[in-house]
Amino acid sequence: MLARIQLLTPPRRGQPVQVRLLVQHPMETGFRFDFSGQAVPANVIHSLQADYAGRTVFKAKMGPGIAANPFLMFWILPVENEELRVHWQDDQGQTGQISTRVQLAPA
Amino acid sequence: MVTTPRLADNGLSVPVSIRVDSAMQADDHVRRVMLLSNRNPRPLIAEFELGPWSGKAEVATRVRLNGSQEIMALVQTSDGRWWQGTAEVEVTESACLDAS
Repeated sequence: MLARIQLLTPPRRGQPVQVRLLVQHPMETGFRFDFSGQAVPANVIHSLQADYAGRTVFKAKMGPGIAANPFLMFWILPVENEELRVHWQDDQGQTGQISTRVQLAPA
Repeated sequence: MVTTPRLADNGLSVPVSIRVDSAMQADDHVRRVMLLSNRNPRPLIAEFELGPWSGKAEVATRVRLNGSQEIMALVQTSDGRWWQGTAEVEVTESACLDAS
């Protein structure tokens, strides 16, 4: 699954930095029907997790109420030069992940 | 505090942000944020977990809305208390006009 992750500002120790995440996914609700009248099975990214510096810093549980190609914004507190790893799973069991390096700017 | 545009042209993708005035310290932080809709077929849109390592108690996403409504955020702080905030949003085109 294609995804983009971005830290909005250069991370500095102890200063919260905004993380923006965009994942390419249809987030199929399960309420739609195709042209032959068959219900399209629901397929949404139901859980997503962000790990950084040895702990889970952000968790999201999502449903069909999230728009297609889900966008998420959250904040983290930079403490160390480490990867911020985000991974997620959808209803079909497919997983995706993306990571970005939190490189502290010299104080 | 929940913020959305007052008027959304299209219910398929409405930006929503939830900001809580919290120090986000180890003894006083936001633990959980739930986003609810009044009119969607599934009222629970999303649930987020934060902590003192978030630095700021703010999340944002884009949601589907089935018509004009008030959307609500429920926030649980580290002392176990729950808080709520709402935002009124007018949707001209619902997300639930499907191909059927």
